[in-house]
Amino acid sequence: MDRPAPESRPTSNSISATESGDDFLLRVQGLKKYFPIRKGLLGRTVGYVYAVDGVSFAIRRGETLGLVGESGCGKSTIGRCLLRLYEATDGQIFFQGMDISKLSPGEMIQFRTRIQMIFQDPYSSLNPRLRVREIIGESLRVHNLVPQGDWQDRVRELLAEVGLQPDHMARYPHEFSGGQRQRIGVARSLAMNPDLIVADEPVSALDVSIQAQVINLLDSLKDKHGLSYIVIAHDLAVVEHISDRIAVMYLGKLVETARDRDLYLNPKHPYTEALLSAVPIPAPGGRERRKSRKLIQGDVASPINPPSGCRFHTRCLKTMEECRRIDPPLIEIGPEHHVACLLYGGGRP
Amino acid sequence: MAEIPTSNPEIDEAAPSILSLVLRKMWHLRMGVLGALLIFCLIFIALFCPYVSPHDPFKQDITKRLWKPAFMEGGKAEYLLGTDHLGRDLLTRILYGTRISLVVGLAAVILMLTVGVTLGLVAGYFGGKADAVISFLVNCMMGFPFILLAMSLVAVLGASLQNIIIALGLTGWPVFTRVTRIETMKLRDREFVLAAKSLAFSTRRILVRHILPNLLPAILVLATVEVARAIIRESLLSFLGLGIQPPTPSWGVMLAEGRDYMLLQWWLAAFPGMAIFMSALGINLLGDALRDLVDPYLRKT
Amino acid sequence: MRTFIIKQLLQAVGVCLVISMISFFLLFLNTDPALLLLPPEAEVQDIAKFKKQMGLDRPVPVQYLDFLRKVVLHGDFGNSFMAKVPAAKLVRERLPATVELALAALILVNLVALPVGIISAIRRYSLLDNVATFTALLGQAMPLYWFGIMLIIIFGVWLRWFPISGSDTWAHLVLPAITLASWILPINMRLVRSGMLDVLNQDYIRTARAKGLVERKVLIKHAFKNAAIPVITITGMQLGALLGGAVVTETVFAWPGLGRLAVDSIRMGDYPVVQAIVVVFALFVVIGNFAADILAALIDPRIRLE
Repeated sequence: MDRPAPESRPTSNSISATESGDDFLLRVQGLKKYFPIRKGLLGRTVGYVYAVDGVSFAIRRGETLGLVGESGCGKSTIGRCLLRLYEATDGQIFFQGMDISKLSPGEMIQFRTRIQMIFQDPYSSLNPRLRVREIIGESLRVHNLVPQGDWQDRVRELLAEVGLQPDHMARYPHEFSGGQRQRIGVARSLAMNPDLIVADEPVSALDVSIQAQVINLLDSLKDKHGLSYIVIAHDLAVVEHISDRIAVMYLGKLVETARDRDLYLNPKHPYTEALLSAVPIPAPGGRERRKSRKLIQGDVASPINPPSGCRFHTRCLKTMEECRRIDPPLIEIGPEHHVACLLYGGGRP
Repeated sequence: MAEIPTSNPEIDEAAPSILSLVLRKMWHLRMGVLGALLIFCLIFIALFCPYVSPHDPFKQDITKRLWKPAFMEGGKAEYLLGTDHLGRDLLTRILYGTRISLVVGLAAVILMLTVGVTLGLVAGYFGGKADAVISFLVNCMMGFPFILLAMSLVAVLGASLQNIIIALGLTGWPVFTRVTRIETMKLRDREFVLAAKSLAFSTRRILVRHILPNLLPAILVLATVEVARAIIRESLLSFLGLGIQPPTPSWGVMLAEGRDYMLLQWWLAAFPGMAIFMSALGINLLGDALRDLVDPYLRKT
Repeated sequence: MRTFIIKQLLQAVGVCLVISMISFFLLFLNTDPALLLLPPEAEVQDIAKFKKQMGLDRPVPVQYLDFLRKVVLHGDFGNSFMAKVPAAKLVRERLPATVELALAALILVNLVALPVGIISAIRRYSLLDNVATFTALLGQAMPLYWFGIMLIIIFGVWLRWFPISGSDTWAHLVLPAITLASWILPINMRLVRSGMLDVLNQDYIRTARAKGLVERKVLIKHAFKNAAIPVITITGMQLGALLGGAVVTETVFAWPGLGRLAVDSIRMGDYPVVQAIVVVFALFVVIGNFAADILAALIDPRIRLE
């Protein structure tokens, strides 16, 4: 059951600056992930959850993309599709030029060493029955990433890098706090020496005071290891410090993407504005700027039965008549700044 | 360049260690200790019965048949619990009976574990058709009184120690599958399993190194209780004549023999049954204690 | 709801089929059925002729289908090897005795388990609750046949209150019924208790209790009112254990029911009777579980969606 393709304008749906795939570490094109809803005696499919409904973006080496949206907008689903923990319903994902849905088993393992994930829940992302050194070191041994016998040293190095004491490697996860466990998760991903790390809500389960620590850790590791990140979060404040570019999602689609500063100083989409209004932002120059509180009206929409036309129109304060009919495509309105909103064009001529 | 932030022990709160939890619980679990004690005695007797028993369990002496236990009038001190219809010392035979019970109990449960956990893992992890078939099988077997199945199996295969273990093992595995399946289904969506997948670990490694160890607490508790049930079932089969055959000293056999004499020589039936009861009780107590121990641990992690 | 019922029904039929298959194939597991039926001196040609006559030389699956047809359409399990009468007839004769025993045991169990379970739930950790839990613990470790024998010795031989075997008078029923009841009692008590706890923990009752509004008496009345369906559900689930216990109890007390027939038949290798009994037991268990599942789903809608 296919949703009708959004109306597109010649400037395309993707936000890549050029169409040459080789410049990009990761290129996602038209990604869709629908989850079937089954009911009845024979498990008939009675509907779908349109978790991700046509998302395209790209990341260059060394770049950090912040992917932001409220719960249920599909951002975590995208993360898992990128790691092929889910199989995409439609669309393509190119990692270092390769189409990841067409990998052979051998290539698959190669692929997995290059893209890693940091998980959200520190209390279930580590195997409680394994010691920390096995959690981090298992991949080293299984994939022979270091010479036999050296893996424990490597584990010690990794622990030190994430700010934990190397002697603690014989301990079990329950002996660590939430923030420390997330660090262990980071170390686990680093062990594979990836090029890209997808951090799926890495700090959502942590206390506010610890959140900054972990984000800073990610930031500091970035240059040292030449990492690229996709940081998924529901809170703009979390990604603000670390992202080069930010993509805002709503109900399975991208509504705005821009460079970090541009998004904060010059947000275009009404949803972005609403998100920003909830966050106190220290603007460059040291003054704190808080926009007047803009409320979103209406109820949370459901990804099973999304609103027609522009998905946000049911809650948008600036909604117009055509918003109900036309689903706006992502349009470039500035250098690396794209918006999907009829206020800025995209309606039928 | 910002320095690498280390964790601050004052702010981050670490969880209490497992050891302190264990100690606290044991203090409350006097019953569990009692159970452990009983089992310890059981194992001790089973291992050392030749040295502890006063007589030979197989030696028959018709002149000494049906003597009363030592504490009744007319009883002899050297036969503490009296003699059976073939003149054999009851106490000795009961002591030797521990061997049969423990061997059968443990072996049967190991068989049940092997079959049951494997099927449960497959059903729980892979789901789909495999799950449908296995679950159906489990439902078939669980409602049915095991006795008929086991009896029939033994009758068909012949009554030997080996076959009893097979019969018990093949009728007892569904419980393990049911529990393993549910726990596996809970575990397969946990993030550390997803992490293992993203680290390109093989399915076998994930099942054995990541899922199975987390199932162990639940399975262990179940296995303990099932040993007790296996012991009771073995003696039941022997009692019905479809288990261990005389002259091997199984408690069930002794009960069957004692039944014929229960009008006058009641001790021949009472004491072997008591042995079964105490063994099963001890194992159950330990199993309950284990369950109490294991639960909070499970909930904490 | 309808799909749930259909699903359960299909499963029930499936289970019956599988059980019938197992009991049928047991026959072929170790022996050639022809050898069982013929005298030991039979010659090889006679055996072959006999097999052809009886249709025993056909492929096994075909024989199974024939067996199935005869059972489903005519209730015909063939003749007992020992008694030379139709196996179904033997089963029919012995069935009432087992039913009688089972019913008596069920009544006894519920007489005890219901009040104890309910009051245990209402007054958790009281003396009664602890005694009941302890008794349940003992009961689960108690071998049934030993308990029966002990009862015989104590009440039949020493005190001479009750007769110890046979089934002529209602007095004969007492000891066996108590024995069988003890098999099920521990689990029933626990189930009633936890079922009641569920009912009592429903939010509106909790709030009412917190406000001090609910008296003990009202609580007990409410509990008993809600006990009917759970009792049936629990009984349905326990049917398998009940039948298993009946097999043992009947053997200990020489009660002329299906259980004893089963043991004797299995020992003697009287396969037609064994098959008949297995199928009858399976029917009971399946129907019992089916009824229990449907009733449980009626009460708790969440079960239907599982």
